[in-house]
Amino acid sequence: MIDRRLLRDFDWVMLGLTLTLAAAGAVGVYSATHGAGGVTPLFADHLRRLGVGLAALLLVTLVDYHLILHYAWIAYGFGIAALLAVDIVGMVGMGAQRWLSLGVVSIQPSEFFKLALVFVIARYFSGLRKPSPFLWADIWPIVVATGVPFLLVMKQPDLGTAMIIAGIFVIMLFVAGVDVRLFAWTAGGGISVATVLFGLDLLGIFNPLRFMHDYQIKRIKVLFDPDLDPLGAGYHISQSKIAIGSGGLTGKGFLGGTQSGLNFLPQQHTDFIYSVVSEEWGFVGSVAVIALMVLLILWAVQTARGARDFAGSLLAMGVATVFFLHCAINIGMTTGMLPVVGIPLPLLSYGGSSVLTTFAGIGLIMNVKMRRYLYG
Amino acid sequence: MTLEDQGKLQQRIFAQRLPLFTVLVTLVFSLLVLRLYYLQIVRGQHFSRLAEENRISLIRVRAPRGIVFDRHGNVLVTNRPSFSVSLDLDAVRDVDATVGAVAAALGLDRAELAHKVRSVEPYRRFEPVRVKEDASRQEVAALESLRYEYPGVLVEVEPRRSYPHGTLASHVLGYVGQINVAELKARSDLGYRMGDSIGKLGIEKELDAELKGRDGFQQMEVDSLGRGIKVLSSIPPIPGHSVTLTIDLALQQVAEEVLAGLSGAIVAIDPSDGSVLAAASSPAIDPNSFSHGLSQQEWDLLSHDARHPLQNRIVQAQYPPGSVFKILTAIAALESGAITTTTSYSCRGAMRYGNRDFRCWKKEGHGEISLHRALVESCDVYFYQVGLKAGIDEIARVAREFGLGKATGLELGGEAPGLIPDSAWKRRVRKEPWYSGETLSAAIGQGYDLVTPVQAALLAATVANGGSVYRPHLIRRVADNAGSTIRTGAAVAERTVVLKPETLAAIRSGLWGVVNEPGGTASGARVPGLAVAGKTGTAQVVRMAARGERQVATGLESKDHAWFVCYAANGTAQVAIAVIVEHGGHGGSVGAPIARRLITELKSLGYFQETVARADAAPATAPGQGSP
Repeated sequence: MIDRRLLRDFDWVMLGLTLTLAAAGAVGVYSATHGAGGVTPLFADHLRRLGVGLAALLLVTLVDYHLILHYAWIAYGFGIAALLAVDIVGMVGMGAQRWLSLGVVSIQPSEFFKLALVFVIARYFSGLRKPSPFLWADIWPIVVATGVPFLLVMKQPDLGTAMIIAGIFVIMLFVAGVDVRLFAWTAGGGISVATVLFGLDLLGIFNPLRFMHDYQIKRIKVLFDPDLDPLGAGYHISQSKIAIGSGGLTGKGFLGGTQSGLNFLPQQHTDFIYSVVSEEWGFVGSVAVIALMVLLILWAVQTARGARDFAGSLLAMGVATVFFLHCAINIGMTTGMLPVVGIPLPLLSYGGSSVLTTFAGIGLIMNVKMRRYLYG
Repeated sequence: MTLEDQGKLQQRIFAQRLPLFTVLVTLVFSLLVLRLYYLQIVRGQHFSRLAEENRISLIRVRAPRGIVFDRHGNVLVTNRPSFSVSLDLDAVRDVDATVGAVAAALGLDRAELAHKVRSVEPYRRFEPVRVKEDASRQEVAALESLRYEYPGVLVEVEPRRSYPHGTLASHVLGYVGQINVAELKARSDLGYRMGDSIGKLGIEKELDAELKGRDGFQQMEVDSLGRGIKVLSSIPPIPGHSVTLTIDLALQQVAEEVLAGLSGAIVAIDPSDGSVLAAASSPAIDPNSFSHGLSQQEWDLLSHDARHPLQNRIVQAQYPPGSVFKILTAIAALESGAITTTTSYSCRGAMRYGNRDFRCWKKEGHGEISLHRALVESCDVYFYQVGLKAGIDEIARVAREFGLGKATGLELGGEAPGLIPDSAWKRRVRKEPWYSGETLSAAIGQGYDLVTPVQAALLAATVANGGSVYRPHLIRRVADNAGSTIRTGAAVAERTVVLKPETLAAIRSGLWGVVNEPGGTASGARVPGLAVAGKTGTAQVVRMAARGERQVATGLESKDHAWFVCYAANGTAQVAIAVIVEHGGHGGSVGAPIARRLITELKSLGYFQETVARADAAPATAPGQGSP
């Protein structure tokens, strides 16, 4: 199974980028969780999870990605089942059902599902026996396969994951070669429907927002006016902005964060880890992190371009899309540009499911790269 | 078109569209960088000022601890407002001068306070330093006059633990104190911080996590004098859960009244479910005094008091059970068939065994005596014989069945297990074989055996309900702030001791006779209209009977400890009580009247009327109660 060419083509650059970002995250998590007693169980936990993630990454590079794509629909099936299980038995965390308890560990099926969705889309389009661009008749199964989980996570409700599923769908279908006219029609149709709904709301006939949770509506409203509710939903945003802004050019230094040191930031070691990093390392540090992320994504795009086949291209591209969407939404959220939707920052945030899926995903990109010259 | 060509075409279109993704990524991240530039560079000064120049001061809003109620909803522990003084170091202009002025106003040691202020870690500087807890009104008034000259002195109103009934149930309720370093380390992940209050004893300690609640925070924009201008944001504190105990305040009061001035303990249990109605340990302590911090002097006085007020006798004091143990010796012998209910022996005031005389408490002897009268009159010689026939291992087995020899699981920390010896124990611990002479002492509870007051009450309760060993418990209900129940303390049957009906009848009739028959050792416990049954016991302080070693008592007195265990019923058993009075002398003359006071109080509280209604619901308990 291990070809010597695989070792020769091992993607050290990608591994280096991944570990650098993970190290930056670990420093942030240490800073966010350290107490009077130095290393806390939370931090030790994080390191352990990074270790597990790295092992998963290496493991994933060993298995030919074609074999993984072969089981795409099975992974998808498990993913859907887990999402359903969350609805049925999942425990409620943070006002929304996202966690599934498996005895000793709780997992977030939505994290794993994103990868399964990428598998399915890559497998589907690489298996289509006709020339692109593709039309409606070619893509409807994938529309259904995306629509079902989209509705499921909306119901949880997990607005962030829904945004990411929609993002994966649009970006992957676009690069996979779906006819651009389809996108134009859908966009046009969407705008018309939104206009009609808005009109109905204005006329008092029907309120489309009633499908959203109160706290979600509030978070969107507060985004535009944090003073609306400084004690509640606005708290996250204003605290995070103070933390980031007060970092200035070079930051307050390691463990020097006053916002994070005082526990002002909510969930500072998970979703708001970027605020901690920005406060302590300033504009220089925040931009460095972003630069590393852009490098990682572009490197993945390079991998997709040079992949041996269409399946590999789509797979690498899909994982890069997931990574990109996570980073963009999370940083947009912590800097107050997007509503607070509870999306972790890949490689930096504390959180087992996120660490594991991100590392495994990067392992897949490396997998594609390593096998670009292999035939047969 | 061949398949390969199709694949080529697909990948070509893919390659054409890929740059658009790159553009999207670049655009989005550029936007984020611009945003960061705006926040950190353009508005950096503004946010820095907000975060750093003490425009914002962080105030912790302490969560009130949960209230503790008795079983009828009477408040046992609550909170009262108190003043706390802190220094906000970033608002303080001249640290030395401020420390001096504050120390003077509060009557604190200046050097000590200066040291405390200096040792604050740099990253904690934004959190005010606690200077004094529970300051008096005069002290607060003195501080107010300093506020303009010395900015940064904060006076906050905080909830403080208060025990409105003073020393009542002090060993059950416990007390709170400031968290120490060891406690903090053990709980680093649970939201405890330096300066927090934490339960140190009793329910306050055992249920601390539930009683504690969660502190809130207030982010306040302040002026240069440290005065609040406007609350920017706050996380409200979440009060701790309230706890309803099984304790009955009125009964507890009587229990402590009768123990006043004595050293000892009382435990009263509802035999139908194991809930503890009263639990007193004397001498009591005043939890209020711990709440505002004991001085070293006060602490020394308490910890060196020869009467050991800090010891929670309810679960921590282990005494030889004395004749109370005869209940178990009799049950062991009856159940194993070593004797029958009609077996009789002759008592001549002593019994020769080996080369030693084992004496009966009655020098002139009881003559020919049966089981019933032997229980009633507590004849030692009879039980020497019975013990020999049953054997130590059988006696120990039965005693353990009744829950002796290990912690009962009552929700008070530091419970002592007691000790029920058998031959295996002796070999293991003493590295010696068991001598049959020791069986004689053990049979009357004067050997190695040790029981705690709660175990003695559990024994009485188990006899009362016919063999169900319910785990004694104090928690009736834990409820959150909104009043919804988090959990309830249900009856937990540890096990059921299977007893022959004739065994149970014989024991119960004997215990009834102890209180109600002529010559019984506890006639002082009679309550008109109720069936009271019990057993006296005397735990020898100067040991002489069994081991032959004369021990000089080291305590205040050399008088024996007086035991009395009993249960009272009106149809269905309603209460089981254990009383121990240290150096009280004889159980019948000291313990029995105490039990009578408690039972009389329970009767006036209406406990025994419920029985009529409840008897139908629980017919399984106590058949043939109290007939001699």
